[in-house]
Amino acid sequence: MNQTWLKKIRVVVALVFLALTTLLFVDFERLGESYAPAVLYLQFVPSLLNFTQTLALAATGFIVVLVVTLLFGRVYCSTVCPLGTLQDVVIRLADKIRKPRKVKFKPQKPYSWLRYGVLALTVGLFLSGSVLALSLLDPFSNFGRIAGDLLRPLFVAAHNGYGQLLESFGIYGPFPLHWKAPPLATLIFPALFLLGLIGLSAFKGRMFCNTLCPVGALLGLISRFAIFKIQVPKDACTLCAQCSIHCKAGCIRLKTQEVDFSRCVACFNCINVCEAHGIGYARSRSVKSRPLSPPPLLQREPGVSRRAVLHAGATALVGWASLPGSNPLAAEPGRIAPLKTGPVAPPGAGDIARFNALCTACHLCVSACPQDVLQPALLEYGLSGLLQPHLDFATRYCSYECHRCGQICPTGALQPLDLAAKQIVQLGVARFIRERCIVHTDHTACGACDEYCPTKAVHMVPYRDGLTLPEVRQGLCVGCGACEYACPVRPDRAIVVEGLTVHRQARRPVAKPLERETLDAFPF
Amino acid sequence: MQRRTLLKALGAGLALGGPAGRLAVGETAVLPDLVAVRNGEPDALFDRGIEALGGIGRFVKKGQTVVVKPNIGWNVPPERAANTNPHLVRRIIEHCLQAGAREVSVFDHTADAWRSCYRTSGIEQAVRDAGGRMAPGNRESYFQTVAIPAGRRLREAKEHELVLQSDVLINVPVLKSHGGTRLTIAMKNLMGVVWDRGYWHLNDLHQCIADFATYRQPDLTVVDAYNVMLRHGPRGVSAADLVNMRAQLLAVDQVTADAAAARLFGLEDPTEVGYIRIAHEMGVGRMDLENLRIQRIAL
Ligand code: SF4
Ligand code: SF4
Repeated sequence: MNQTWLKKIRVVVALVFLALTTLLFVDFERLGESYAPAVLYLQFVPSLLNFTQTLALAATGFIVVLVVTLLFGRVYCSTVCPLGTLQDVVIRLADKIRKPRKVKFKPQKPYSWLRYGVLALTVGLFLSGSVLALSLLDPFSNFGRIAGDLLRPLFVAAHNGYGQLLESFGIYGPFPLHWKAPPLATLIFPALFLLGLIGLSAFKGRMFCNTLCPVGALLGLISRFAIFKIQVPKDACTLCAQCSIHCKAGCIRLKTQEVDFSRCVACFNCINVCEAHGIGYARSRSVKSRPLSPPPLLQREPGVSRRAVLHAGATALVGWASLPGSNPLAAEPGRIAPLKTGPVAPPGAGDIARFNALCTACHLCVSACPQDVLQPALLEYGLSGLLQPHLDFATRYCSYECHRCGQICPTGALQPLDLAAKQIVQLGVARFIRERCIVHTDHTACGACDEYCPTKAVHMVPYRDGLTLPEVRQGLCVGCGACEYACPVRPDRAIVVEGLTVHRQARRPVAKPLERETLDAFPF
Repeated sequence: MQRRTLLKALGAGLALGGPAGRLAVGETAVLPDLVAVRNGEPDALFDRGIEALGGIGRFVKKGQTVVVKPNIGWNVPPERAANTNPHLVRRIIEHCLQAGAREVSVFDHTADAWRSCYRTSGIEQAVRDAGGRMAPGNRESYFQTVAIPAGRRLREAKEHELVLQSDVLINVPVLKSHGGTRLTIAMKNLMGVVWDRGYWHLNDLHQCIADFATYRQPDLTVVDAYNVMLRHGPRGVSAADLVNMRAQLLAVDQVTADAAAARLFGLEDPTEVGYIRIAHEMGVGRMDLENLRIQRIAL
């Protein structure tokens, strides 16, 4: 049966996902926001993590992926996964540059110890509370960092350059997009990762997907049991080897005329090049042959690994279930726990420990934050929280009218809060250091902090000679950092926000009615 | 490039006129120094007020470029009155275009993130509806250094190119309380055409505001006192901070506008606001309302 149409559809779907996911990261404000949930729904790791937090219908995308994998193998890897398609693009470009080769890809060793080892390590570390391995290997998060951290500045520069060109003709064209440079060191990882990925895919096809990618390994385990698999028709096969030399995963062995379906990324290249039009999907039961060179680990491991995965989900669920008691968002308003200076986690993080254990640092919130206050952390949260977002008040602050990061966080590390709820989440508490304040030191009016404070947690109280001095009412403070941002004193500011390890609730400002209501006559 | 050269030429021509040129217009003699209008919607107040002040044609001539500078500093909706009322902005632009203005631009160097401010304030939409041009004010490259020879503390500032190039500047502040300077009205609103205002906060804010007022007196000042934030300014916490005064003040002299607005706000003496007193002393304008011609209108 001719299945060559499969690849056409696959390519279209993959490019659509790649384009939409890329735009999500480079231009969230204008383009991405509208369709974000649709594109994020099927991303495996975010969806799985989110499900463990919310059990929500909107987080069931990973189940869809699992079902599809059980039916047709790793279709995910060549359609939904933006990092997979990115590698395909690299392969294409590399082919354009280098001189044509007859043998595009060579069969690869299964490296099963590596891929399942990585999977076990990732899951093991995750269960023991460190998301670092998952964060550094998860394909979606890596793609997010490539698109958001590396591509976005280029996109913004090109866009704004075009805008400036128009301006030189007297047209104020599209409004400039905003971008704030993150600490340079946080770019090292995505940059190295991208370089490695380019090298690997240009020469070895989808090798990343079959060695380091934990999602690839997991879906590979499942696709061993797929109901439909790509198979070589032993009777029709002419041993032309076209399929094998076009296989990006290097998983077709002609000697045995077998496809290692656990490594097949369902790119369908083989189907299109088969001279006999024979290779393609067939019911897997029709194959009687023994599994292809079974890796030693696998013969014993699959059960264990599957159990481990289930365990992962279960433990995470239990972890969440036990949260409400300690859920900071539900904490008593106004209760004062001891202050701790530390990083300020985004609204919706709740307990920073919980947040640190879940965030895979995809940086979607960083791209989406209209204030650019969210920045990747270096070691602010410790090693395990590498690259996770924190609020950097030196140059920005969190907008009182915004609750976007929680709304779009695909992993549930940031819980969605409606605006009213977000407006009383206390991320930290402002501390005023009078000895540094210029009203005190220079004897001049300022009040920049009070100007910016959305709740009037900072307000001005009478000082000397008609001057007013800031004062902080901690219960009203939401820790947005506006005051710290606005304070003009350098190098150390006179008002700083100290992050809370567990977010609390601030008092909602209550308004006393004013004495006057209308104007009946001019007072002059 | 072309635009800039042309505008500079125009600007230079106009600069020769200056404030003195305006005073030379014969009819100014009978026109009020201050028009105070109340009991109406922002657009109706402006219609009546500008008529009393001699009509928009007194300020905007055919083919001129105009900058309307509202307060768009905060990412809050119109009903919170932390920004200038969008209906008023819209009406002013319509008047300018009717008077034959070639282009009417609106911008602010906002305090909150500028995209959010433009949108949430309703002003971006209002400008578009009126046929004006919403311009960005968030990048240093739009600003050029200018000298402020009469300044005491502020000797130079980086000013938005649109203000430098435009023939007419209409300042449209909203009257609000202000934690740092007591009130923010007209002179303080011009901090939004400047890039490097951190310096102001560090170097005697009141003096700097007055210093900058010596640099360029706007051609017209319209104070939005429709909803007036009596406390918690300049951002406000909720609509409970507002009094629905339904008023508007129009003046050529922004010190006069500020002084009158301060009285409207409830201050007994405008000198309670440092920059008003200093600006008056420095001769930027006049705050002695008792000696000025005031036309009071109730709709
Ligand atoms: S809620 Fe604050 S941190 Fe989150 S996206 Fe909005 S401004 Fe940024
Ligand atoms: S005191 Fe500072 S951190 Fe607290 S709410 Fe006000 S501006 Fe935000």
